[in-house]
Amino acid sequence: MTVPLWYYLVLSGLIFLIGLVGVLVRRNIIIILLSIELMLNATNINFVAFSSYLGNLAGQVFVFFALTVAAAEVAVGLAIIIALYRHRSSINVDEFRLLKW
Amino acid sequence: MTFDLVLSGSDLLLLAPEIFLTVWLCVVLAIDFSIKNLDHENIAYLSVGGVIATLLNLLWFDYLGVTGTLFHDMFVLDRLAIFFKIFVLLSTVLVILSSIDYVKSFRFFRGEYYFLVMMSALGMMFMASAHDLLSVFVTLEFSTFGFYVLVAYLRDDVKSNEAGLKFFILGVFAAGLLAYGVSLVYGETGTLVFSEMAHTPGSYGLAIGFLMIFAALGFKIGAVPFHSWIPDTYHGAPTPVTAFLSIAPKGAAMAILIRMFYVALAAFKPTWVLLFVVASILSMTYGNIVAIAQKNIKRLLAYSGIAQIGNVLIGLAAGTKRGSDAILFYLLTYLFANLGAFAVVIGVGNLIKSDEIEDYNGLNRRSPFLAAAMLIFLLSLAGVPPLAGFIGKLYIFVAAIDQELYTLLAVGLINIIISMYYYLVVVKKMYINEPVDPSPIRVSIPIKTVIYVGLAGTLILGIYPRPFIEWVVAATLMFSNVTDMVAAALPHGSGG
Amino acid sequence: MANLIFFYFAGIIVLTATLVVALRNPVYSALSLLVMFFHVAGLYVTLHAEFLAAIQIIIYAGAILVLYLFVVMLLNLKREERFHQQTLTAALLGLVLFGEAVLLLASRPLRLSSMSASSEPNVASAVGNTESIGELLYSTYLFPFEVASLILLVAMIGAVILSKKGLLESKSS
Repeated sequence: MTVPLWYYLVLSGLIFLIGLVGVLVRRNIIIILLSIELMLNATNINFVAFSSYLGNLAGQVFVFFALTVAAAEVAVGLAIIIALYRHRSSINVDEFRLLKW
Repeated sequence: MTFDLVLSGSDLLLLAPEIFLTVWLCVVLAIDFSIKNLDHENIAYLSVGGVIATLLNLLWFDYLGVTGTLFHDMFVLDRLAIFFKIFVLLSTVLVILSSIDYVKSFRFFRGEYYFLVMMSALGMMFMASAHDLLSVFVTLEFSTFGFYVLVAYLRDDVKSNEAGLKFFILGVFAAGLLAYGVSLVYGETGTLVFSEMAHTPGSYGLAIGFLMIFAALGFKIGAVPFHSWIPDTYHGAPTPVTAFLSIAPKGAAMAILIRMFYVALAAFKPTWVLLFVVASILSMTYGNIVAIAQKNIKRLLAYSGIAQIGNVLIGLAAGTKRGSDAILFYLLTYLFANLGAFAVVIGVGNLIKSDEIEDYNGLNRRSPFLAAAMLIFLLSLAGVPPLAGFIGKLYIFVAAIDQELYTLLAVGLINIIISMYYYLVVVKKMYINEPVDPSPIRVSIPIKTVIYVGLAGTLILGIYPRPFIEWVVAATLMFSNVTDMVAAALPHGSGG
Repeated sequence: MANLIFFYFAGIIVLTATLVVALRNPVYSALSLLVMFFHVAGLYVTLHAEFLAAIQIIIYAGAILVLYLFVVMLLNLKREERFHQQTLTAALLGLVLFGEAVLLLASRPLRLSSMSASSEPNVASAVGNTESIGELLYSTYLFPFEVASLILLVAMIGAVILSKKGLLESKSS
């Protein structure tokens, strides 16, 4: 007996929410970015599960592109962090107060 | 193994503008790093040349009526797409011209700046043609990546780095929301293409999915409550980048919103009308009220932009062809007035190195030309006849009246009055107050060109809008039976 | 049996995901994310998406996490205050949202939530997963594919622009 689809949906929903809470709550930028990776992974789980149960490969193709975008975003994000770090030796978001939030 | 795709030459013709621009920007980048000691102005003019060539190509397509779809309906080139591509390219040309002096102050990576601007423009051109959720996601992210780098471009300036970081974090957060929303929609409908989705019955999964997609797109256009990145990003980014951000992504994201809601979600119109009404009221009111307290001209224009988007959303709330026409025309008027205003800000900022409104005191004495131009741009943004902004607002309000959205109309009119206050405060400072340092301000030719183009656009659209209105109406021809589409897509005998 | 495998993977995934968000040290968070990626790849294999499982490991675990760890080591971060003041509110909000989501899923059946046992995937029958995705990628989805290559170009050049070190004041870059 195969696993019902909604198990996967609950799993991905849970991971998505954990990632969401991580972005909102943590102050360390690296952890914030890792939480965003969690959100993207939740999306990927959703797509692969739907793709499998719908018999349609479009979902898997989307995962492919989501992976590409995630990789590119990590590159740019870490570059911004490095550029920022050269000015202030901290990556705690609360320290960035020059601009009002 | 068989491939089910055969691309003929005439198919590739539809992609010709994008292909040309891609090749051009790679060539520009190669020229930049292979020729030593090349003055960056040459790169700028080369870029402008390429973009104008692409623009002419598109105008030619529009004239010939070239349309078509590619890749199983994933890429569409219709007059709506051509309109938005022309829109994006026009803003790109004006932004590149305004940037030339500003880029002089960069210590390094001058040529790459133009490359990134053109890359973002390319991404937004793709966005205008995207007709399914995968293309929307990929092209949206593509154009935004260019902007992440552009906002953080001033490596020596902590404000720019911070702005870049904040923009980046909120941007990828929105991308995550978008992706998850798309996954839910995919699960509910089994497809990603807009036209195939049109007849799915509604359900909670679909609603949540589209709500999340709307949230991500709302982030791009800067509607409340997804606007929090705007003031800080606009403040910290290099001013030409702010100018670019304030107009082009909004236009491209609007193209996607119009397609998505009019084609894919036609059946649920009563529900999403409410969504847009709320977003519109919040954006207009919040943007205008907070703008009053601003002391920095870039932040002022940022909040005024939020309010202007609130106005544009009225057109979406109307949900009719007239609404979409009004949106397109309004965006056109906003392009000229906004880029013109930013050109003045760049020109003044290059010389006095400040963006505080206090430093605009007595601008009239220092440069009557700049003060007069700014006056016209601000009045157009406020919606004063006979300038373009007036016609734009009129058109939007007519679309609202057409659909009996009287609350929205009332809020819109009240907001015009509120916005006049802060625009006129700037005007007063320019004309009546005494300047701290009365030396004249001279602006360079590229910036003068941009200001003249802005003035021309604002005045022509205000006094003789007829050809542009006809253009806009022809661009949305596919939506002329949108009310029929709604009726046909609704389940028999019930509403929404 | 299939259920057991699912619960193993799902359990570890949820556990490590929580650890990512909760741990104090960014290196430990990255490592628990690594474990999560491996288990997500395992989940993909059970869903007959073998190519994606391989790609997941290669790209996420092999490239992205390595990049994160590299930057963490480069910046030599110290352990610091973990949470904002609004931790409790945020956690409560998260719980409420999750509760709502579960209620929604349970109350009104999704069109697909009833699909389960009948849907043995019929896509990857004669052709393997890799071939089918490859066919699609180079034909139907050619447009996003090309745009994806442009995304990578922008990311590369952007990363160099933002982080290249020690440039002198010269005209050429």
